Amino acid sequence: MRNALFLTALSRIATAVATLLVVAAVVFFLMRLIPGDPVLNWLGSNYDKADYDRLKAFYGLDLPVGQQFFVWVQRLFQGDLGSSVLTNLSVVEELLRRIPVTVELIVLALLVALPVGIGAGIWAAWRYGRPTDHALLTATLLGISLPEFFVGALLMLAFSLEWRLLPATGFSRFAWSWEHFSHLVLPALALGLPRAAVICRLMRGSLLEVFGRPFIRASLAKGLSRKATLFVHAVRNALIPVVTVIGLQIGYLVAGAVVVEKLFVIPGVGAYGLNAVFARDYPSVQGFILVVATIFLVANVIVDLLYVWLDPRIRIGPRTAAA
Amino acid sequence: MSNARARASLSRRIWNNAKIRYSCFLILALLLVTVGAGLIAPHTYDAIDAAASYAAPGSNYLLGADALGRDVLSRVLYGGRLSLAVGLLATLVAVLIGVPIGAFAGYVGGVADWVISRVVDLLLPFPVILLAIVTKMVLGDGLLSVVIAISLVLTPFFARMSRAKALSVAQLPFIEAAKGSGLGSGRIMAMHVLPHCFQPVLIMAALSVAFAILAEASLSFLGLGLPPPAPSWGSDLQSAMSGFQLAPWTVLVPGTAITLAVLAFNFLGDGLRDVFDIGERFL
Repeated sequence: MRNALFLTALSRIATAVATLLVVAAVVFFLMRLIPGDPVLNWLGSNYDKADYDRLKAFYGLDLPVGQQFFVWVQRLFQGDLGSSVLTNLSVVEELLRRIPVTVELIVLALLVALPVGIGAGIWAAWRYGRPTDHALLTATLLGISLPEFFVGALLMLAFSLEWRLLPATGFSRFAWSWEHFSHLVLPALALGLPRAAVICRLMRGSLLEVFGRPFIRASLAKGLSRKATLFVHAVRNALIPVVTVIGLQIGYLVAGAVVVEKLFVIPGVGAYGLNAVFARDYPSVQGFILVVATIFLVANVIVDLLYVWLDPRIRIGPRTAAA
Repeated sequence: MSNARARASLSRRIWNNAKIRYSCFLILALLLVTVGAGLIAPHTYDAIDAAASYAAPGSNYLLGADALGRDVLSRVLYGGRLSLAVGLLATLVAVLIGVPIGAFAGYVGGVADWVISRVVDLLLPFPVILLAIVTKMVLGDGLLSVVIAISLVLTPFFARMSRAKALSVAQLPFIEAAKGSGLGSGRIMAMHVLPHCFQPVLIMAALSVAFAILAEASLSFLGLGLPPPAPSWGSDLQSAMSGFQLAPWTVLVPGTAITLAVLAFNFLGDGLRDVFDIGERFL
């Protein structure tokens, strides 16, 4: 069992690293395909030929594309992503400062989405076909249809502008204080609630399917109460398909984080990436995409491992494949 | 005979489903008012009136005016064109590319299947924003790059689904019979495999339009959509945030429009799923 978990972890991490390299390569070469000379873009219309050559050499843009990529990967392994064209600050330092902010936002959003979604899903399945179930289903359909930024705007209208309970925008540095977390309550809700709606629907469907299986009847037949059967046997089995889908949801969370950071003016990775895109600051954009892809892949590896832990039958593949 | 009756009862079941009926009315209404925006809208979307800055909803500006004194209602009507066009176009592109590729992979199998499956797995969970950023940087501003970015995200879902369907259909006896009667792989795929994908594709297409409208709104909210002054629900909402306290309607109107449009297509997909009786997990 432990061995299987270890092997799974190893294979998932290897796949994730390979994926990351592919993503990095695709992004790198696509950026070189963009029409127009980036150096001209940065210099504007009024410049010296010497300045132009110096800048081009400085960013290594005078080398053949293949060699540029080789240099970039080499520096990447040394922990160097270059420096921003706009500010000349190190891309790595800037990103390292911002990664915890975005990761915290995503984790807090998951802390909203998972309990709310799973809880509501269990409740709806328990009340299958009754008014509670219908009300929850309608609410989740609405939840799925609301964009994160509109949820955020509505929360802001209610909690900040109307009732003045929480700050509307802004951020304060990490500390175990209300000052810090009060700035993240609304963003986490805006990011988490639409995901909770998706998770609720999945949890409900999955539970209803589990209810029909023989071991549930067996559990009831041996005299376990309906509630005990639900929580001891049904929920754990129903969680397995839900966990796989949470892996997909993380993609939405990462994308949503960019949107929510913009709405609530939070200095995370997303805000950095957006600014870099508008300024055509290539080293920063590449760093941004690499970081987002990494966050995303790490989260997926964790989900995969959780999946194995929940269902020990699952292995990397059939045992016979090795023979 | 029995086939015809089955078809008749299916179309009746579709029509009897309240979700489908209401969502179809809503979608039709949205299409009419946005396509006919030129006839209905009381103002043009870019008519600036400084005196009417943040005018409250009233007789002259039915749903109020924004910071520049532009009519919110008119902008929402014109903005809907973009949202619906992107939603429908991106889904159409994803269906036309994803379904044949997936069916091919599932039916033919072998190396082609392996390669296609790996690419699909790689693309499947990728955040739409990242793809959009890269396509936008490569293709520049414009409707085309938004559509391409969103359909890139949608295509692998259609490919995965039609591959699974083709895999299961390929083992059925009537495929064996078709082979035996001398039909080529291309014809078998077109005549016998693809029709089996129709129902799940229809459901997924409805849900995809909802997703695409949401994605377009998010991209315009981030400033990655069409450049101003083109009206778009997402970018209108974003620019309205600065005057949120002063004029909440500038935010609420486009936000409600997005929600309504997305809800309509989600409801349609949900209703179709009920009628075709395909489990939630399959999609």
